[in-house]
Amino acid sequence: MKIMSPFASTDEVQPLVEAGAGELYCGVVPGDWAEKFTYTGSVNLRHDRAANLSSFEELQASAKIALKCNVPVFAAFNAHFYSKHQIPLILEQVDKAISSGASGLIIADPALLRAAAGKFPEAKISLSTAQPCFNSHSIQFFKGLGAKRIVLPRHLSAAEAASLAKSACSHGIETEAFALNSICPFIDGLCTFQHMVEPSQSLEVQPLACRLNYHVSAIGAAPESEKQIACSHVKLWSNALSYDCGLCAIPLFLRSGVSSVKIAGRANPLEKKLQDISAVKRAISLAKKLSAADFVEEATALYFSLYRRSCQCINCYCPDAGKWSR
Amino acid sequence: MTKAIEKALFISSPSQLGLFRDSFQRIYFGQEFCERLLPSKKDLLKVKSFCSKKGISLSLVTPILTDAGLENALALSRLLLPEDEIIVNDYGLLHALQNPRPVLVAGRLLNRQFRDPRIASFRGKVSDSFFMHLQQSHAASPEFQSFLLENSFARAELDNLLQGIGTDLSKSQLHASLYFPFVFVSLTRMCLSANCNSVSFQGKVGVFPCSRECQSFQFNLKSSFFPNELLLFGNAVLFKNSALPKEPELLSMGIDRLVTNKALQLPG
Repeated sequence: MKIMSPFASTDEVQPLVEAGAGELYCGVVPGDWAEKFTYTGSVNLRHDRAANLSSFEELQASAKIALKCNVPVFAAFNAHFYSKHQIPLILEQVDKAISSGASGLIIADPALLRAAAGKFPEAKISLSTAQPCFNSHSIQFFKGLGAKRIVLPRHLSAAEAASLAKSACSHGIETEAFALNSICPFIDGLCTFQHMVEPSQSLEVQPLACRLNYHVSAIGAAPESEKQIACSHVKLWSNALSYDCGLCAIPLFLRSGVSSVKIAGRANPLEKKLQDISAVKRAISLAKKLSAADFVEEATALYFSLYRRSCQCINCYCPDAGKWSR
Repeated sequence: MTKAIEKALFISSPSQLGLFRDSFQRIYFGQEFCERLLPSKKDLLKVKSFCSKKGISLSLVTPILTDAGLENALALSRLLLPEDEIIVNDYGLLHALQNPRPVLVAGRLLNRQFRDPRIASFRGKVSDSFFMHLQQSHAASPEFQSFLLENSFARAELDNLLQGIGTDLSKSQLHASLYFPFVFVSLTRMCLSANCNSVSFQGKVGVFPCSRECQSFQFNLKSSFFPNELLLFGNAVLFKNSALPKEPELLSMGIDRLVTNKALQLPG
């Protein structure tokens, strides 16, 4: 099982590869795209400058370093969809990404997926988590369009993810599962809250809608006391810290044939990215040796070493795989 | 002859058939957002029988599906006739449906749009061309239109965006529907309505079993960052947009069906 690590600058590539990244992914938002569509209308699902490379020259330099160590680089073109004005531009960019040395593409838009698979049959095309794929028939559908790998949605229980990974294997499709960082309260591929995290044109930065401290009121005939409990529960994500982790599911992923575990957090500092790789590497190694119960203990300790706090259910990718299932 | 817009009533339970008025020519029955709330075969047959008696058409609405939900949706689809419709919101269902299939409609989860109500305030702050881009939907792109037509979809469905609708399907072979008044914004499987009234679930969130607490609780979410109140109906966030373009304007964009989804809101 490989570790898929994010990177956001060429300088990060060598240390990430040396730390154990078996695959790398990035996004590229060229200046002319940002000027036209702003970062709010990013080429990919990251809407901040710090999470993206700014040119295909940077991608080329990065891929050159990675490929020397046989580490493939995936470029994300995973906006939910591209409008009729964007499609010609995005096809040009996909072309540039492949020419710059990207071995893989991460795509959500099914029409783009099909076009890219037709034009670049040698490229490994991953279906982005921005395109929901929650069942075995979806896997077959997207395989038919040219996907060679499925990034499993965040909103699967560990058991559902394992079952889908096995199904994908039986259809000759690789899978990738999230292991660290960035749980989204909503399904990536179906959430249309706009991320406005980078000022551009006259747009101001706004907090993420999924983490706002809403004033919540309950509608319906339930007793007031129950409504109060319910409203408090609904505010759960308000200002929640994003110290997210799915390490406990790694043994299950190993047994289910998941080919790669993904670390989210393209904009994180290099030091954090290196710590993440180290934690995931250690978890994979322990998962091969330890019993399930012992592994959960160790994974919980790894979490503490990463975040200096105990893990909480709200930060857990797969509550059914670890201590929250007990 | 002047074209008229078909009116459809969206309900999720036979108990909501009381909302039917003779001005409706079609019933949408089912679930867009949660597979746990898919109707029973018995309820589908009740609604089917109601439609036959009234001489109106039927569309079965299906949500995003796991393998378990897909089996249930397929079982329901087998009760449909080729002239009935199925609203598909999951590509797996499209793949699994066997011939003879009902008429296929790409639901509003398949047709992506920029639905965040804050986008309306971008007018004048971003370039006109970018604002027009934000009024579009996936179905406005010829590539996606071809993709839908090749996959035998007859219709694509749209939300009534607060920033205005920029999708013109009048020259496409696809028909278009518009949902009204509740606009979809976001969806989760880490459902906060699930177990929301249980003290032992406070602080916990994940893909957990539930007792359909969404049937008893709905929520208003207010924030100064949003021009509209957001509504948490079960596992979906929506908002209400009461401003509907006039019929000639809708028809000029190829929108020939209006889907009234007011039943999403609990009575009382």
